[in-house]
Amino acid sequence: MKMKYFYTLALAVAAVATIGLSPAHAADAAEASGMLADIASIVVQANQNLATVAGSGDVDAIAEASARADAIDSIMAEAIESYSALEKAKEGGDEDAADASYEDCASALRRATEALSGAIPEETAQSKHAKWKEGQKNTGGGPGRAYDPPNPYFVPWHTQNLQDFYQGIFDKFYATSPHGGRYWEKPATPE
Amino acid sequence: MHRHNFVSLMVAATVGFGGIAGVARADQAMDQLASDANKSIMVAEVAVDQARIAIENGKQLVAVIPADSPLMSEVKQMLMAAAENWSIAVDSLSGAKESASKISTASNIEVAKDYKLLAQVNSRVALSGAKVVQTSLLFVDAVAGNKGEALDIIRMAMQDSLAATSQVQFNYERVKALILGKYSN
Repeated sequence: MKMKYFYTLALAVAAVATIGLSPAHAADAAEASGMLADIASIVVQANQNLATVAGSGDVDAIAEASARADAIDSIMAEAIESYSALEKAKEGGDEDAADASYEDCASALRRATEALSGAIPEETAQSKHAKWKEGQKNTGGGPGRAYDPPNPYFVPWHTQNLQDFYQGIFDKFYATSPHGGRYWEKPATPE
Repeated sequence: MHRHNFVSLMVAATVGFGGIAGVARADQAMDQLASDANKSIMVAEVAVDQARIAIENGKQLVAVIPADSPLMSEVKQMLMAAAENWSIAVDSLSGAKESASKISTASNIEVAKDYKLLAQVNSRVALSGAKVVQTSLLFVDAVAGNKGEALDIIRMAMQDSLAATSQVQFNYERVKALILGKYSN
């Protein structure tokens, strides 16, 4: 009898805990996508601030607004990656990884909000001009971001198949040359 | 027997108190959700009002620019982008208000949370649309005021703004689809 009441009491306490406490937070893809929308709207605000100071001719204010816009742009790119990781984790049924990616999105939103009017994160603050110069380097497969235009000078040498293909063309070209492919026998001087 | 009654009373009181507290907390949570959504809407409303003022000023600025100006075609493009984003901003603001009005009448806290999320993301679409309108009219202002050195920066800012605005809209559509998926399963 005594045990029955003990179980009844335990059940009641469990019921109260269920009603009273909110459920543990689970990574929600819709909420995370809403965070991305928030961050993207902060990018728009930062660029509007930049456009506003552009007409003032105040070089320091332009540099600051540009650094803020760039920092938030970088945070946006990070958040997009975090969201992709969240989607993959959800598909793979890895709830812990999904939670971690959700937290990354939330952290990106906090940092973007801070960068709009507070301190500019130094590691991401880079002037638009410096970034443009970086984008002009023909590094062949350097790190790219979502908004980067395609690099027309990109040479995809990094794939072995393409390298073999181009070397094959090179070999055929010399094989059909007047030297019969033995270009190393070419005399040093025409005489 | 006394002990029996005491334990029964304790259980009944705990369940009763917990139930009442739970209902009160749910009401409080609904109010909080509505308040959060309304805050986002207010921010968007301010931006839309500012965009409206910018459009009014822009009408006078366009008249100042000579018709044969080499920048006229670019000015026209900016005005087209402004018109497009203005209608997006106004529509999204009314959509956000509609979603926010449904929070208090939602059948449970989960549905209320979804309405809040829709209201917030829709207000972000409105906010970003309104900011794009302002940025495009800043370009018109710079052309009218012969601020040649500002044009490059505004062009770049506009390009980034348009890319980010499409991100906001894309995420709004995704949020809508995810929420719809939750209820259609």
